[in-house]
Amino acid sequence: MTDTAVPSLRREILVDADPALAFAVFTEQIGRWWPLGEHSVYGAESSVGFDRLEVGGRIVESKAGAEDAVWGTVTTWEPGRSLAFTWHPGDTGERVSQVAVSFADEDGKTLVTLEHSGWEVFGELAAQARDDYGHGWPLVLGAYAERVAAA
Amino acid sequence: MSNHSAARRTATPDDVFDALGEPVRRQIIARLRTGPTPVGKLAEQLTVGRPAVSKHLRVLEGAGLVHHESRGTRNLYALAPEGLVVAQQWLVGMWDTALTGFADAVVDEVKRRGENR
Repeated sequence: MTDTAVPSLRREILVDADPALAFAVFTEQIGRWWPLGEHSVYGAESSVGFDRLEVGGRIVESKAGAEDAVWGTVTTWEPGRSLAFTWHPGDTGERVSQVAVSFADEDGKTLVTLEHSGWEVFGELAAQARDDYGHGWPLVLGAYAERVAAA
Repeated sequence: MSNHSAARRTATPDDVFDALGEPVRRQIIARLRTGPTPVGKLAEQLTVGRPAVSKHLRVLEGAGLVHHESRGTRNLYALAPEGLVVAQQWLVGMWDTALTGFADAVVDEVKRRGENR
């Protein structure tokens, strides 16, 4: 049986820097900005980073005295352009989804678009839930736009 | 006469992701798309045996992904599609929080490089 493909989850953010710098901050400095307190295996006391800055590199969360948690593995590495990795935090890798991030120049700024796919395993149920929730997305983006305007 | 399962507790995103992380449970979800189904019929379609199917159904129900109703002596299980919204909202929230932090880090980095110039 084939599960029905569903659209990926897509988020965008415009950052005030060129694509090369945006890419560098996203990758080399992920440990500075990832919200470990809210979204991590070991919590705020841990650290996260790419172990190698190339295809095959892994996103690894570390904490003293604990086994490293691998969140995913880099599948595309094009500095200043695009990045993709598998995504399975807190998991041994059976439930693998994919994240693709693109960096596009927009008049000197960079539009960063993140797509999280792999909902296919959830099938029609996911498609339906996604449609239902779709109405809430403009609100989320609105909050982001306010934040940018205030910056 | 039907009787919905009582007092469903609120499922967490972890409950949902954990529930969907098991292949047999994903098969059960796929089977239930055709409509409410008794446990016995699900067990016939899957190769894991009725006790195992019942156990998986309890996990799915705990995650808010399915619910059951009793019709006479039969227990019918059905999809509860709103269950997945919990996971979806959580994912959207996670990426928005992360990307906002990322944008702040870019601003800091630009400032830092400007100061060192």
